[in-house]
Amino acid sequence: MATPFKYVGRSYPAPDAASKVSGTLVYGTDLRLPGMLYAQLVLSPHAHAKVGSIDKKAALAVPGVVGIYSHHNAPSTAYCRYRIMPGQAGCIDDETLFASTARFFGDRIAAVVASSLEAAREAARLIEVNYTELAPVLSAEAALEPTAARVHPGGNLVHEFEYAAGEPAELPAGAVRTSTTVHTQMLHHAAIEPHTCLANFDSAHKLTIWSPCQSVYGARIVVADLLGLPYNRVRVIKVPMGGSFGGKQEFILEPVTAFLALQTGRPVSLTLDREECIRSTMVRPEQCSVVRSAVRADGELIELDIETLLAAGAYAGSSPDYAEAMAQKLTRLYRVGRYRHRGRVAYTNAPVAGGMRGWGAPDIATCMEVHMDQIARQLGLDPLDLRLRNLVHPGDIDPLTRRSVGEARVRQCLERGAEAFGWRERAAMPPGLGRIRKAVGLASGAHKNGMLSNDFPEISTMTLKMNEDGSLDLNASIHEVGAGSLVMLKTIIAEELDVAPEMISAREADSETSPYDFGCFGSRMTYVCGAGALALSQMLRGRLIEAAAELLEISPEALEAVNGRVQRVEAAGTGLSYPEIVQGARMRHARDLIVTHTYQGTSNPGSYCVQFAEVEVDVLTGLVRVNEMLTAVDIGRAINKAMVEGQCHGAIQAGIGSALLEEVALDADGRAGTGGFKNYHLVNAADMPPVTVLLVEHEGDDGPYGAKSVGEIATVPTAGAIVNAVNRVLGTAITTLPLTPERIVAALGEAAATRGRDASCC
Amino acid sequence: MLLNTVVNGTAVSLDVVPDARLIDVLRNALGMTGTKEGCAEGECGACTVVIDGAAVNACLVFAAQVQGKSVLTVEGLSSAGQLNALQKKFIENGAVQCGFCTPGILMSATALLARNPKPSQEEIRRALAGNLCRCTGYAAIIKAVAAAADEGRPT
Amino acid sequence: MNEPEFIAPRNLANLAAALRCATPDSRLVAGGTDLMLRLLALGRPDLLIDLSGLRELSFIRQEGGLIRIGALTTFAELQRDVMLAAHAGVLSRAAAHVGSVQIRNIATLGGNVANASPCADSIPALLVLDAEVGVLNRAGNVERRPLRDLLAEAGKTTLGPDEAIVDFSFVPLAEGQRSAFVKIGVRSSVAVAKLSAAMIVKLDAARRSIAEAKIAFGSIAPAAFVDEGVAAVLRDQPVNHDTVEAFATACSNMVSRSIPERSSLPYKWHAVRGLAHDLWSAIQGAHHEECGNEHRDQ
Repeated sequence: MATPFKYVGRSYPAPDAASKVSGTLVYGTDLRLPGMLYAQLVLSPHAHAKVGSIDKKAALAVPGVVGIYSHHNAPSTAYCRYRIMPGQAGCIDDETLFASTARFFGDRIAAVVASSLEAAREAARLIEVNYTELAPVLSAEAALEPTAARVHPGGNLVHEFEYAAGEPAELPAGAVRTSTTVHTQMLHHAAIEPHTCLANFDSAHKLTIWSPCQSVYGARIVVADLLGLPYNRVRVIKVPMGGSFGGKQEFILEPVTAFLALQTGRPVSLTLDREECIRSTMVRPEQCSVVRSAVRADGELIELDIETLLAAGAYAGSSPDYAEAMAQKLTRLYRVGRYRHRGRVAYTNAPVAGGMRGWGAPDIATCMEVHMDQIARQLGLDPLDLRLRNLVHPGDIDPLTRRSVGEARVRQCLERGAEAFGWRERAAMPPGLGRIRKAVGLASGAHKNGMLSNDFPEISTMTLKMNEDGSLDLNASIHEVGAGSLVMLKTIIAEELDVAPEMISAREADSETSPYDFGCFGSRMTYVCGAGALALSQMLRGRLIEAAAELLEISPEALEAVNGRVQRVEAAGTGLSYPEIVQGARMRHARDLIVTHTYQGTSNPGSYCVQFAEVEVDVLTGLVRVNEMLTAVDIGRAINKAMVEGQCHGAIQAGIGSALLEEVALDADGRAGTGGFKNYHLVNAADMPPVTVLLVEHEGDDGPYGAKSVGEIATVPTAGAIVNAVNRVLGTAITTLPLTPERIVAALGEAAATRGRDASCC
Repeated sequence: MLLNTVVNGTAVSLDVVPDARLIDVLRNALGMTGTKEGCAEGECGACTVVIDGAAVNACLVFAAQVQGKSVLTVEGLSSAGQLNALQKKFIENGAVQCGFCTPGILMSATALLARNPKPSQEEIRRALAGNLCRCTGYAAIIKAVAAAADEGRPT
Repeated sequence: MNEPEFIAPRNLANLAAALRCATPDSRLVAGGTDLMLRLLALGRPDLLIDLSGLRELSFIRQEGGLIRIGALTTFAELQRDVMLAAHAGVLSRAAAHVGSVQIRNIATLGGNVANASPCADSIPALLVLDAEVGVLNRAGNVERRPLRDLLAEAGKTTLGPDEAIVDFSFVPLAEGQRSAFVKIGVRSSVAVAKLSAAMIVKLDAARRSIAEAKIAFGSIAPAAFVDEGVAAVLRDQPVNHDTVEAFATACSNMVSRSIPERSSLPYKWHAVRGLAHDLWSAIQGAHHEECGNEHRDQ
């Protein structure tokens, strides 16, 4: 489908693509400053232990070592890695720079700073720490037992909540009750760039932090508060990022790196290796949800009651908000008379949980979609028809938030996707009884567009100025995660001002020079920041026309901005060029072509995606092959077509991994992450199936040109579709992810045993 | 010990520690940070360079082992600031998102195309199986490599 | 810790001299793909002996009725070698399964064996070929030992710190012998084996029954091993479905015998049936010519 716009809707390369392919783009670990020191962390080898004496003598003797820090010589002020603003609800300050009690296998015990990484590592190996091991509690269930060891003094229940909408009422005759318990696993974000941070405390007593973070203002607050510095003495610069997927959203390395810079008065660089990243940064939480529903005989949802138990790991981080976020996804996906969602979050002596792409939406969608397929099986319905019976319609009001779901085109995603995929025909084919069996599965999912209704300032301030040659500079706190936000903004500005996108320059966030935007999360970049850039460009266009009108001494109504000029309406070549207007306005009317605008997001409609999967299962080895996938996304409007599609492909790579391959598994002693990528497997190029992307474009919401988000929603239904397909193939009801070969073989064994028992009962 | 090697066509003579890794010598001693470290265990392929025509993980090679050999890194693909055909195809085909895996993938593709100028889709996948990407889902990358091969110009 | 001494021997005499300097804290490096990972745990060596310059140990040739392979031959070279594919296809296939292109380009046969991972891909193939290992000692002499005598426990061979593998030799497959290597891993490419096996089979003249069978398994015990019991189930049996099922069952029984206490037993006991079927399919697809109709990876 051709785009009706001049720039919007075409395909553009990622930002800085030329420097990426030539290896010249400077990422965090590529930064070198004169006199730079290197830090190496000492991480706890125990899941739970008291940290006693620390013998640094041999370590300090290593040539090049400048300092060694632990809780003995560092502040013990507690902070929250998730905080992005003062007074933020949902932040529990329970983490310190270095642990005096190690609460998980990767907890920070000490840091060495030295003139070389080799020296820092050698010294770190020589540090002797006296630990007194304590009994670890390794699951949320175990943590909530009355006799469980306490991860923190205040007890293991971090957070508890209940959401409810609709009044309880008696069920009609013939209603069917179903219950499914689904368990999703800890995941590693697996950005190919490891975690890294550089900090410098210079002679002017200014702290500068270079970090691939998702909120420079948030980093500033956490670090400045911790170290007792005024905010205008802490500068946080967003450096190019080699992927995050949420893993760099929370402030894991910034506080300790900043502290080390402060102590040494020199630049300090801290980069983790892959094992350290998996072990000691953050993971997607482990959670278990019991989904109970009541439906009419025709499949219409009457009641949905969910109980979620989520493991926060050693520190609360974002887990309270994450669990609540899980509870707010389904009422924007399905129409349901009564909804209740109770959640509990527990501390465990396990890696710290945090937000990962989709922020709870993939987790709860997996639970719900597996449950829906179970209902479908019980009622003898096609899973497609069951979804059609219940998916929301555009304009529906989400009973939980009382907000409209907006232009929710999920039904179209389902119908168009099903047709393109050939769902009916394929679903009718039996899996077969041979060694390799094949079936299809589907799942739908909902997410959001922005952070509205979550107690965050849903604003973005931006400045746009035009230079003497008509080129433009956008000054905004943009955090490019690799999904093309910088290009998206330039494309919108290009469209509104009718200039080539190359004429627009945009840089990433710098807390010292770029105005406030609280960060790249919550799928707000296109929907809110993009809309902000649209409003901003329209303002500048208006100023250009006004300035031209003044210069030409005619009415602004007679003018239009086209092709880099302000001309008389439909009279090409008349009027003035943008450069002429900039110079003329400055010289003659003391006007500057610069605008600043604080855009406020006032809506938060749903984003939607439906995915279809075909899988083959080898019933002897338990290996699953995903043959192909189709994704239908309710994108509203694709600003950058190639990037939207690229995000869809990448999101599915991650989703397949979460369904079949990936798990940060704890051993019996609470150790996780050892072996790095040797033990944590991602889908590689050989195993990635072909993916068909269907974009459903329908304007109407407040995003620029009707655009909605894609990066997160695109990964929401993937695991559900695959699990549903596998269960369909095998006639099993596996509800624990990932569906490893071992789990599949075990489920096949159980299914055979059940059939044997059933047969022998007759 | 003295290391004499050729990097991107230029003779290099360096004093290195015997057990220094090639990736560290490239990134630190030579200041060529285009080669990225993603895992330090030869699993992600972000550090792929080409040594005497073969794609190799620079994190697994001692610098001393390239004594007398020829090393090609991502910095050696463009000449006089001009991107080569493969690099251009990557940009044109949306094969670059965050870009961190890109140098390693370019090097694997370069080695592949030098040995097999007309690879099948399957051969491209297998050649890139040791390069992990978390952003693109690989499809655009495979398309870019195939497009570079179709153009017929060796990279 | 001090930086290690470094020796890069150019010939076997140099290597023997270097071996005379070696202590238990010294390390031999070939491709480096295993050593680099173990160094963090092992610490800095006192002496690093770099074998990668020993061109004379990089060869695949036929001599005296045997196929001889230098220890420094890489898996990429093994995978590409036309003669090897024709006369010892099981080793070619195993080589093709090692890691990624990048790993195969530098990882060596000698290194893979010396590292002695229970999941090493080359070892079942070498065992089923009844390979002998040429071991150079500090005196500069090369002794030949059967490979199985080198395999001790997981991650360790019986080699001393002053010994080095220099070559492997085995009798090429004879007329009518077919071979196969199969590996089950979480991914189709770049995966550690959960189960692996190498097999050589010869059918009778009419191709109706199995005249000879030999099979070695990897990723089950601490070291790969040849299993005579499973091979005996195949011998003299007709080529039919029942035989393959019996073969699969024998493999399951072998797993139960080998790892009764391991948590991976239920899975491996079941999945090995798939391995058995895959091996048999591969054997049927293999011909004596082992013609290079399998795609080249590089």
